[in-house]
Formats: sequence, C-alpha cells, structure tokens
Amino acid sequence: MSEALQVFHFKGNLNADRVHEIEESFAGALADNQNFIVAEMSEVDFISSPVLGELMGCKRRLTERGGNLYLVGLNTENRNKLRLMGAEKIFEFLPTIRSAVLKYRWENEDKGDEITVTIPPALNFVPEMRSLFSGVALQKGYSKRDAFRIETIIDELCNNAVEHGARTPPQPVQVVCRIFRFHLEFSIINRNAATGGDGVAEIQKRISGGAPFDLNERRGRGIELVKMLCAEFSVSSENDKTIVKVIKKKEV
Amino acid sequence: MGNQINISFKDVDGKPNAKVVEFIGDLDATNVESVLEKIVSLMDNGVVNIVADFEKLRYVNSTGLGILLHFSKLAKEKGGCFKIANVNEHVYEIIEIIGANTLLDIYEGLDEAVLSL
Amino acid sequence: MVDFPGDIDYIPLVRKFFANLINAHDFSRRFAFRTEIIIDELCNNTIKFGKPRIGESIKLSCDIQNDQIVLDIFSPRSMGVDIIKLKKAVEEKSGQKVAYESELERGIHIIKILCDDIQVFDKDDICIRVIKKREQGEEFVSLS
Repeated sequence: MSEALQVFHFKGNLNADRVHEIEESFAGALADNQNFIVAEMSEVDFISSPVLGELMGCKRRLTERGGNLYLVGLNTENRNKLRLMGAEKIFEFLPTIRSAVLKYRWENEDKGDEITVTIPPALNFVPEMRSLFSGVALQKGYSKRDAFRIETIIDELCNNAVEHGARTPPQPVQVVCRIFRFHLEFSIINRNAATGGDGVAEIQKRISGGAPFDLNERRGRGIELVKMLCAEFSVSSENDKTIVKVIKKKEV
Repeated sequence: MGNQINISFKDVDGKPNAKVVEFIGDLDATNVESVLEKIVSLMDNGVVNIVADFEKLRYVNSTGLGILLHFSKLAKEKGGCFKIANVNEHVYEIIEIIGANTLLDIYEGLDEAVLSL
Repeated sequence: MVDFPGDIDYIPLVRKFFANLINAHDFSRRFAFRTEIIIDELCNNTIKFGKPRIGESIKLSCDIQNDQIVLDIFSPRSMGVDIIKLKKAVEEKSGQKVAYESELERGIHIIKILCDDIQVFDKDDICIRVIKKREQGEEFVSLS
C-alpha cells in the first residue's frame, strides 16, 4: 500500500443520517493533508443520494488540491444504481484497494509496468507479439495512432532480430517493455545475431544517418521507419547479445 | 503458419487486362511471400493493370511496403500500372513516413482509381 | 513466455496472445478458445488468491507441441498462495460431487474439465502445469 493513500472502510447502509459521519472522516483526512482517499465499499449494502452527494463533494475538494477519491469494491447493485445517478461520469469504479493503489501509482508516482515476452526466433510469432504490445498501449491510455506506431516498431525490430540471426541452435528473442504514463521503453534482446560487432556498427551507422537510405533496401527500410517513429533508438552488443533500445513518447 | 491475409480478385468492366485486388488483414513478414506469388502470377498471366483495394487492410510493415514498390515497378515494366485505393490513415502515415507515397500511385477512393485505368 | 504485472487488467491481452498463437499453429478454434478459458482461470486464480504485492509479476509459458500444449504458470512463493488448498483442489477427482466452497475450487474444476492433466509444483516458485492434448479429428479453423 502507498503511504500517500488513506483508506476508509464503509459498511452497511449509507443512509442520509450518515452523511455527517462521512463528512467528518473526509475532513479529518484533508486536515492531515491526505489528498488521496480510497473509499472501500465491498460491505456496503445501500448508498443514499445524500451520501453520494457527499462523496461527489469530497471528490471535488480533493481534485482541487491535486488529489483524488477512489471508489472501490462496489457490489453490482450499487454500481448500477450509481450509474443511473450519473456517478460514472465523476468516479471510476475500481474492483479492489490494490487496483486503486496501482491507479494512484500510475497517475502520480510515474511507476511504470514491465512486461517481458520471450518468443522462439520465428516470424510467425511476431504478429501476436506486436498485437499484445499495441493492446497494452491502448489499455494504458495511449492513442490508436500511438498503438499502431508501437506495433510497427515491434514488428520491424523483431523481424530484424529473427531474420538476421544464424545461431545453431536458434535462441529465443526477448522484448522487454516498460510502459509509463507518458512514454514507453523497449529493449529487444537477441542472442542469435550472426552480425557480431561489425553488424552492430552497421546498424549504428544507419541509426545515426551515416549510411544512405535506399527505399528499395529491405533492412534499411525497417531501421529508417523505426527511427522516424521513436524518440530514441540505439543498438549495442553485450557478450553474445545484441540489444536494441527504443523510447517512444506518448503523443499529447 | 503466420498471420493470415486474404486476397480476392474482381474483374474490371471493359478491361480484360485489369483487376481490382482486395487485401483483407495484415500484410507483414509472415505472409508477403504468398501475396507476392499471387500478384506476380496475375501479372504473368497478362493482368498488368491492378488496383489494390486497401479498405480492409489493417496493417502493413516495411516488408509489405517493399512488395508494393516491387509490384509498382513490375507493372510499369510490363506496360501496366499498380494503383492503391482506400488506404486507412494509419497505413497511409507509415507509407508517408518512409517516403513511399511519392513512388506509389495512391487514390482516396476505389472508383477514382479504377476510372484512371 | 510472458512475464506481466499481477494485475487482472493484463489477463485479457495475455490470454488472447496465447490463444491466437495456438490457433496459428493449426489447433482448432475450439481448442484455442478452451485454452483461453484455462489461461483466464489460471491467471485470475493466481492474482486473486495469491494476492501479489505491488511490483510482483506472474510468468506464463506455453510450449506448443504437435499434439498438445503445455501451460506453466509461475508465481513467487511470497505471493502467499495457499498451497495446501490449491493441491487439494487439483487432486480432488472431477467426478465427485463437490460443494464448491470457493471460487478457487470452481476455477480449478473448470480447468480440469477442459484439460488433460493438471499438476502443482512447489519449489522455488509455485508452478501450476496444465496439459491439453489435441482432440482427434479436430479441424483447423482460423480465429481471424
């Protein structure tokens, strides 16, 4: 749990006569400079309109201070009722305290998520790999355009990793993605490269613009495309690994 | 087996050496060879004027772009043409980024592309 | 193998990833869908009942063979999965009438109906292994 989050567990029927109690709890938190509050409601049977009004008021006060109020664990009946009252436009209904913590960390602490996918060095695994990462980007609030560009970046780099390898037996290709609120970092790690030091130098030359770009040349096209789609692009070799790193910033 | 792409062919009225080719799916490294075979075979059989309908083409990568450039070049060598229509905004952006829009004959609508044959 | 945060929001993406790969390797649409359900139950159980800490991740691997797939889901011991309860749910015979006490048992039961073998390994990490064999006479139909 994050220390920045204050959790209140509510139980039973939240009738109009409980507004004052709820108001005092929230006021106490605000006085302690707790600007992020989790209202845990899995044991709440009923929420009255006055209580909902108080929750909305609290949310507004917290938002004005750069904070937030997360409603967590509402049962189906309460969720539907709040939806009918238009509360979904103001609150996001989260399933658990943990999901509220994850959301808080994502929005306020710039704590990214890391996803690693390891595939055999075969082209027929690449389409699903790129769909997975573009899906992750969409889920995390990136635009469709960004998601498509991410798909292109992954596709080009994984195809390169698969096509230009010659090791026996073939080694897996690994993609490590760290996704943050405003940018993504990809590392494509490949132990197959027959390229070695010279091959890495050639790619570095293309990245830096030292080699002329010919649209008809297959390898050059992919590198050129990735270069244009990302903010940073580098390649290095470490022991027997070729590591390609890319940073893609979120379109604002 | 890789990513599936479907290709379908439609005749063009009054032009026996022309066809509209509809691409459905994603064009990438896993399926370029099969697409290459089908289109080259079409051209070898005398259909040298092709309009590629990209309305249902969701995605293309640099390998896919490569074969499109190849089709364009091959069609011209045979005295024909390779035109592209109905490109979605994401695919068009990739074509534009790589500079292939100056080398490919791209039309907004299918009718426009067919009329230009 | 996919290594992803212990957050249920990732599960749909991960299960589709594996289902589509399986379908692309000439297993039928039915087989791919059933595998998707197995993966969904495995991941949900691991996250819901393991209570992963923030930053802990789940590893899911899928070995696609000619006549079967082998799924392994790994979770760190620190996640606090109740091994005894898990092993009991896995070892209980499917044919017995079981008054399911928990969602865990229901989830394991669904997996047992859909797969050919399920085992729990308890070493450095906790691993649930599920094997699903290709059904005889299955025809390939693409999911796409």
